[in-house]
Amino acid sequence: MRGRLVLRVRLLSIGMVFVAIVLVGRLYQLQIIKGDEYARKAEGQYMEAVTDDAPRGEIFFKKKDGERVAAALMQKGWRVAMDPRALENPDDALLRLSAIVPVDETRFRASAAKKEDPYEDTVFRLNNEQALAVRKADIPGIFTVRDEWRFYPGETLAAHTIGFVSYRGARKEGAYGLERYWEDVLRHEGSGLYVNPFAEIFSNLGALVADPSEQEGSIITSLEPIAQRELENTIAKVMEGYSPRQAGGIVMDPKSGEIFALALAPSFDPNTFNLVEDVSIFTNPLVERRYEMGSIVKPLTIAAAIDAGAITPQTTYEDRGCITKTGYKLCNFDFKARGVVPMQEVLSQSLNTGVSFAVDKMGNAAFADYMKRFGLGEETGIDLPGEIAGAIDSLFVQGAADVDFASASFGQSIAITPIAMIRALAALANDGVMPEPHVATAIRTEAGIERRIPVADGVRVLKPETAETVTNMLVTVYDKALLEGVLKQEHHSIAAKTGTAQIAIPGGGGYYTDRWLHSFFGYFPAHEPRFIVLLYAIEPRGEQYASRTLARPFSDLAKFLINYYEIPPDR
Amino acid sequence: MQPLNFSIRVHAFRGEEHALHFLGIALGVCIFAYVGFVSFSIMNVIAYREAVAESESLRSELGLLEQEYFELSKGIGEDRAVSLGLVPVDDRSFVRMPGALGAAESRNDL
Repeated sequence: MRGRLVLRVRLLSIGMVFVAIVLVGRLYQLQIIKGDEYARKAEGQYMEAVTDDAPRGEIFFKKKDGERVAAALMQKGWRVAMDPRALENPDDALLRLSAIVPVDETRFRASAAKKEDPYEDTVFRLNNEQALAVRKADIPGIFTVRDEWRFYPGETLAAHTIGFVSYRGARKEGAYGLERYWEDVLRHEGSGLYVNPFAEIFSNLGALVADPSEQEGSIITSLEPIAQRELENTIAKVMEGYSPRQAGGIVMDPKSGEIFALALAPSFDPNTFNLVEDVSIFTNPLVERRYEMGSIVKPLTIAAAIDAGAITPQTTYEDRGCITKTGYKLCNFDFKARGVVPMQEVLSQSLNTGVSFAVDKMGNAAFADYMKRFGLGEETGIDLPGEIAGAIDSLFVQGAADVDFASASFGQSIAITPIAMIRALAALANDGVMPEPHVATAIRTEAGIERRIPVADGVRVLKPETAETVTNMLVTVYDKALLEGVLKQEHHSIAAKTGTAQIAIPGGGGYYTDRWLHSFFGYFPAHEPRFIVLLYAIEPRGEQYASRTLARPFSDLAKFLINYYEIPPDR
Repeated sequence: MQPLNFSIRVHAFRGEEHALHFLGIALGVCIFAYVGFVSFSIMNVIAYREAVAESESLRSELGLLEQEYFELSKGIGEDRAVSLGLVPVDDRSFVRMPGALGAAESRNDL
């Protein structure tokens, strides 16, 4: 008996050892010998076929209280299709279908005429109720099909910034705005990949340490929907009042570089972007175009001269109305001389001769160096596609003449993108440090993990005391000089400056005498700014100066932002 | 009755029976854990799919609600405020606080 038991035990042990050896051998074969092959097969199981309605992350506005509001999302619903072969009475079908949803009659009849065709799309973007009604109607040859599409609830709101998705070849991709810039994040290639709970856990752990901008997810922006709406209303009023060819505006946090609002007119509805006739509208001039911005460059010139120690606010010069540089005559906007005036008057009365004097005092090379440091000739790195650099090359070419520097000092002969302009001006509001403008602030993965997108530190271009000095000068401009001080806010200090630039004739040959670019910038509260605003209008009609077209819209917008954000008084 | 068989076995192969028991239990645990893991994974996949479908459905509904929110927010203006009985405050008063705010008054008088 004992011997049999021992034998059994030994046989069992041998058997288990044999099984273990077989398992180890099999594992060796699986993992070592055929490991790569199986890894590829496994990866293939996780990959889904690319379809035109591939899952896509959302884009969110962020309200002032932190609440998220969807700016772009995938909408599930239905489409109506027809089988022309089974369509018994097209007229009756059209009548009954039209009673439920709007139908493009021309398309319907064209589809119905294809009697050999088994499938034709007929109506798009139906919700569940509409689809149910179509099914209940039981129209022969008409049926519903599952559908999914990109939906923009805000319609025209921030359309140029949010952008849209369109076909590129056989698949849909971000084609404009944030949709395009953040394509790699928003497009979800690996849907269903992490359904294995353990894999998901490791994936989520990875999301905590990996670069957030390299992960799939949704985009949280700094765009504030109410501020955005107000900026768009402001731009719309400018369009209505002065019919410019184009108008735009930016509201930014001068400290962090977070963009609260970006607006352009004309605009469009990204839900129906395919109906837009003039495709040139799908260009964002705030980052993709550069302009001679005019006198809003003057505060930068004065700041550079003060920072270089060449002038102080008390420095005076004799204004003779016009000066001659390299044989060219440069004059004040009104050609008038004002005699001996201090630098404050250069900004208050926007004297071209005054900023030219400041450049003379600091030297052409130093002035050019400051313009470069202000980043006027480079891209800001904002997360919007197609950004171009400004053109300030005229200050650096060999043989650059005095007239080039003098005209650049008041914003002519150098061309700057609006986004680069507001970044440079933000240095005045931010103690001399230029922030990095950005729209997206965080990425939220599918697992709900939200991580901030790292932003580069600001670049110091001015001494803090220089920024403070110029801020004081600009507050005086707004309180006393602009429209004789009627826009002054009793309890909130606002630093601001207008700009009216001549528009260059394409191909050279000077400037138009009847076309202008109006610009306006301001930040508030001046000594602890929460907002910096830039407005511009190209070729407005009926008024020559920006103080007439943009000053009041700016003032209304500033008052709205002060009230909406409950900004405490600073004086 | 031959109860001494066990002691003989222990004497001949010490720990062999325990090893057998241990291996048997280990095998049982492994099988149980494997079945549990597979079941758990299947349930998780099903729940995940359902959650994703429900989430997408809710997201779609939310999108329509947000569209309505944007539409309604367009209609909020001063007219609406006046209809609700609100009036602009022309003469606002602020509470002055000691410290930086109090000192800020003269900063712009340059």
